[in-house]
This record gives sequence, C-alpha cells and structure tokens, in this order.
Amino acid sequence: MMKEVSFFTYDNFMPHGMCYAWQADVLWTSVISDLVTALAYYSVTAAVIIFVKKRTDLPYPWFFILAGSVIFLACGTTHLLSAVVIWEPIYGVSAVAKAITAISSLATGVAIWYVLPFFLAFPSPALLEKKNIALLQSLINLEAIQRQLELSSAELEQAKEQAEQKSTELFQLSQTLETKVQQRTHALESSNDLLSKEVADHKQARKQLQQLRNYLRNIIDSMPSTLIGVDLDGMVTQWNTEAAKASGVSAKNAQGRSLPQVFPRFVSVMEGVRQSIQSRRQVSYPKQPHQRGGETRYEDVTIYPLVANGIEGVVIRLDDVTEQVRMEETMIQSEKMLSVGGLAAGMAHEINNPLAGMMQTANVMKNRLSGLQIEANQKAAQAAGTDMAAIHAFMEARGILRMATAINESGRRLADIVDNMLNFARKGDASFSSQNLAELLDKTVELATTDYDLKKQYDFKNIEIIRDYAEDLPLVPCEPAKIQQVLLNILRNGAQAMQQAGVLQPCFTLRTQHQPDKSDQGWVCIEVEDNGPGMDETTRKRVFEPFFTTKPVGVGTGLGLSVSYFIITENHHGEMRVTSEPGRGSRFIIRLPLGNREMR
Amino acid sequence: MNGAGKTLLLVDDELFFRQSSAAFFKDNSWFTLPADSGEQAWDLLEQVSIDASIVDIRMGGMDGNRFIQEVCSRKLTLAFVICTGSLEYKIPVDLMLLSSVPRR
Repeated sequence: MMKEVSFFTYDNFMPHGMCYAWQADVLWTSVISDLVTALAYYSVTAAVIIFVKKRTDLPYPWFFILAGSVIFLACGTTHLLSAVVIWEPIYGVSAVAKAITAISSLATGVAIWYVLPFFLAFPSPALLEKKNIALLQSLINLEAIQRQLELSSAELEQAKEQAEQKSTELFQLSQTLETKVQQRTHALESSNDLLSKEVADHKQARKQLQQLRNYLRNIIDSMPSTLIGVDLDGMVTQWNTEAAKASGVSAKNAQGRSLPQVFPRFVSVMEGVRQSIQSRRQVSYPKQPHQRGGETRYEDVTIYPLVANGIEGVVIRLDDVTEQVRMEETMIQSEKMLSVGGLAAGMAHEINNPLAGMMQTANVMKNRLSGLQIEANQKAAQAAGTDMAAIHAFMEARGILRMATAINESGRRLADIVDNMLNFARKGDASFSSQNLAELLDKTVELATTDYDLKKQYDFKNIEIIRDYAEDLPLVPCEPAKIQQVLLNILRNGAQAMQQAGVLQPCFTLRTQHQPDKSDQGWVCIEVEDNGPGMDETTRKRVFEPFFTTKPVGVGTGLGLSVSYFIITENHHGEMRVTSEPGRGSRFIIRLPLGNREMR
Repeated sequence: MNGAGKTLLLVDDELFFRQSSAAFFKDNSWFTLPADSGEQAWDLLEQVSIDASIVDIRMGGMDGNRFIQEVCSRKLTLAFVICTGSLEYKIPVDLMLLSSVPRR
C-alpha cells in the first residue's frame, strides 16, 4: 500500500484513543480535561483581549497580546486538538498548533525578561491598596478642603466685597494720608530746615561765644592793670597776665588758691576784700608803696564787689601809678618853683636896691672908719681932735669893723638868695649848644675838687669817683653852665652828706646812658649816686622844694636842688628825680631830651 | 677910681644907695651931684657941667634909658655907667647905637 503520504494525511495514523485502549475512564478524563482547559484558555484569551482593548494605558500592550492571546489561544487550541486526536488522528494539525504554541511561548519566555524590570517596579497591589487608601484619604481630605474652599470662597467673595469697599476707603484714606504725609513731610522739611539753620546758628553762636570769650580774655590780659578775681572764700578765680607778671605766679598755679598765699603782698588787702564783700561797695587803697627792683613803686588798689544775684566775690584791680605819682610830684615842684620865680622877678628889684644901699653904706662906713689914707678921713679926724690911728684902734677894740663885715656878709647871702630865686623866673635867652656830657661831668668834678667855697665842710679829694659812661653817647643840646650848676649842686650836697654821716669810703658813681625812644631821638640819662646816708621818704619828697634844707641854718639856702630841678625841667624840658633809702645812698637821675622839644 | 675933682652925676631913686654912692665917690676925690630922678638930673645938667654919670635904669618918671638918650641927643658928651638892680636888664639897641665905649 504505498499511498501518497503528506503531513496532513492522517490515514496512516491511529486515533489516539487507541493509546488509551479506549478505556473509557482514562479517555474521557483526558478528553474532558483538555476541553475544559481549552475553554479556559480561550476565556483567558478573550479576557486579555478585552483587557488590552479597554486598558489603553497599558505599557507593552504587544506583550499582553503575545502572552495572553497568542499563548492562551495556542495552548487552548493545542488542548482542543488533544481532545480531537483521540478520535481523529490529525497529528499534523496538532503539531502545527504545538509549534505555534512553542514559538509564541518562546517569544513570551524571551520577552518576559525584557519587560520584567518594568513589572518588578510595578507596585504590588497591597502597596497600591495602601496608596489607594492614602489617596482615598487625601481625596476625602481634598473633598473636605474643597468644601471648605467653597465655603471660604463664598466668604472670600463676601470678604472681597468688603475688601473692595475697604479698599476704596483705604484708597481715600491713603489719599488723605498721602496729603497728610505730604503736609507733614513739608512741615518736617521746613522744620528740618529750621533745625539745620538752628544748628548752624548754634554753631555760629558757639563760635562767636568762643571768639567773644577769647576776645574778653584778650582784653583782660591786655589790660595794663593787674586784675584778680577772688571768690567769697578768698580763693583766686581770675588771674590776668599782669597779675602773673606782678606776682611771678602763673594763672594756672594761682587758680583756686587763696590770695595771700599766691600774692603775699595782698595780706593787707584782704581786710578790704572782706569789707567790700560785706558792704558791697568799692574799696580803694590809693598809692600803695611797695618795693620792686630796689625802688619804691606805687599802685592804686581798688576792690570791686561782684554782685549778680547775690555777692559772688570781688575783683581786685592793681594799677601801677608810679609814673603818675612822680608826675604829680613833679607838677607840685614845678608849681612851687614857678610861683617862687614869679615872686622873685617882682621882688628882686625891690630887694636888690635897698640891699645895695645897705651893703654899699656898710662898705663906705668901713672905709671911712678905717681908711687911713683917705684925705677926708684925716681932715675929719683932725677936726675932731683925734687922728685916724686912734679911731682905727677904737674901731678894732669895739669890733665895729667886724660888724660892718657882718652886715656885708649877711647882705651877700641875701643877694645870693635873690639871685637864686631869680633862676626860677623863666628867661628867654637860653644859649643852648651841643655838649658832650661825659666831658661836662668830668669838668664839674674837677671844679668841685677845687671848691673851697663852703668852708671846708668836705674834702672832695677823699671821694672816690667811679665813672660808668656810655660809649656812644650822643651830644646833648643844653646850656652847659646851667647843667654844670646842677651837677655841682648834687655833688656838693652828696659830699656834704657823706662827710656829715662819716662815711669811711665816700664814693660817687657817675653814669651816662642813651635811652632811645620811638617818637624822637630819645633821651640822655645822667645818674649821680653817692653812698651817703640816704634819706627817708618824707625828705626825698621835699628835696626839690624851694627853701627846704636839712643843713644847719646859714649853711644852705634850700634853693640849690630846687634851682637844679628848675633848670632841668623848665629850662631843658628834661626830667629830674631822686631815689633813695635811709642808709643806702641817694641817686639823682637827670634825663635830657635829645630832640628839639618846644624849647623857648 | 680917683676922680681928681671931676663932677659925677648920681641918678638913683634909692636914697641910701645914692647917699652911700656919693660918699664913696667923694672919698675918692669926685665931686658928686646926687639926683633922685631923671627930671632932677636933667635940671642939674642945665646948670652944671658934668663929666660922668651913674644912672639907675628903673625909676619913676623919666627912666635911665630915656635920660641917656636925651643927653646924647643934646650932643652932651658924658660917660655913663648904668646901674640897675634888675638881673634881666639889657642895654636897648638904640642906646647901644649911641655908645662909643665898650660895654662892660
């Protein structure tokens, strides 16, 4: 039987039931199982297809189709064909079905490794459940929120309306505010301007205050007076430059210390300070003498109470009035002398004429009583029955001639006084010439040395002369004879005073000095100093006074120094003064002007 | 000083000075004529010849200066000694012009 055999020819095969030997129970169990399985597979296939179709969001849908439809379709068909072959041996078809199943299963088996990571990452249902629950929860929450939101929304709406209203109000308010702010800003700006102006003013004021303070301080310090402020306890509060100069204590050191402590000279003034504080009145001590640099200086002390709300202290002012005091002395001297001069001029003639008559009469008397050779005498003597020798003897015996001499001597003294007094009368014919004062001084000393006029009351040769002349002394316009008269007067007086006081080593120091000044050619100063007994203040003040003398009556006229003073101050427009202290000698200071000063 | 009989005119208003001066010059052989004023002296000049004169300057009436000038204007030649108690006296210029003798 060689029949054409094909893959799908099944004549050669026996039905598969033969394998079961047609044993019904095994056969049917197998057939039914295959059928059920096949049905189940088809169901799955259908489900997968539906699933894939419905779930468009599936990843890898081709995999599901492959795995679901193809495998299950193929597997179902395989199982179906297994049931069919029991009776009909179509093993070819069955084989093809199996092959398809195999291929698709292989494809799935390979593909599954490809998609596995993705499905592994796929959350598990439990997790999903959990997430789901959480999601649900959030959903619920969200819903709640949404409800609330809705509610809020309504509120919001309402609020919005209110807000809008408010906004309008706000806008108005804001505008008002803005206006106000602007106004305020404006006000602020202007007040700021004012403030900065005020600050500037303040600064300016402070500067001015400082300037004023400096200015006042300068004024106080520039004062030629000593100004000292003292509080109620006598402590120094103010101390100007002059105060520092006068006391030798700086303002810094004086501040806050008690006045007598820093200025011992002021112990006596403290009583005045107390008085001034108590009475609130000014207290003055004029012309207080004090010693400075070996000479007596004078100061006016004035204490002024400082009264504001109450008494705060005092200000003490010290003015050096030495020059003023000297000037006053000078003026007093000059006045005295001028009055003497005026008197003398009128008196001179009236005194001189009778004086001349008296002295001449005394002289003629003497001649007639003792003139042996005079013819008229001899004739008259003979007529009287005697001779001139007898008359002369009588006159000698009775001291008549001596008396006549006395009349003459007294008359001469009187004439001298009148002569000296006439020196006080201004004369217009001063013959000035330029003189070397050193030479003039030396000449005068020489003259004094040979001066025996004053009955040897002193010996000028015993007196040492120290010369301290300036080298470049300019020539001085003066009347040399007058200046010599002045110097001689001073030298004589000094010599007499030293002799009388018994000075062991009498000595004169003669100095000359050029003292330039701003306005003119300045002055030349002559000093004559002795080491005699000196004089006290009372005497010193009166030495230039006419007719003042310390010498015994008849020795000095009291006119020498006053005439000298007159010559220097009136005739030469110079200055003359004397400084002296008891026991420390006297120093006469003469200053003569170099320039042409309103000379007569 | 001896006058040797010459005539001296003494003009002074001060009596004792005039007297003592006259006495002094008499003792020295002068013939003296005292006058207490310029006017009196002028009268004397008319009557007597005079060689010299001592004249006070300050006098009431005609003073010394005028007296000397008057005398000179009469061409009377006289020696004058001027005598004055004033220390300020200076010989006036017109008087000096009349003078032929050195001033002392």
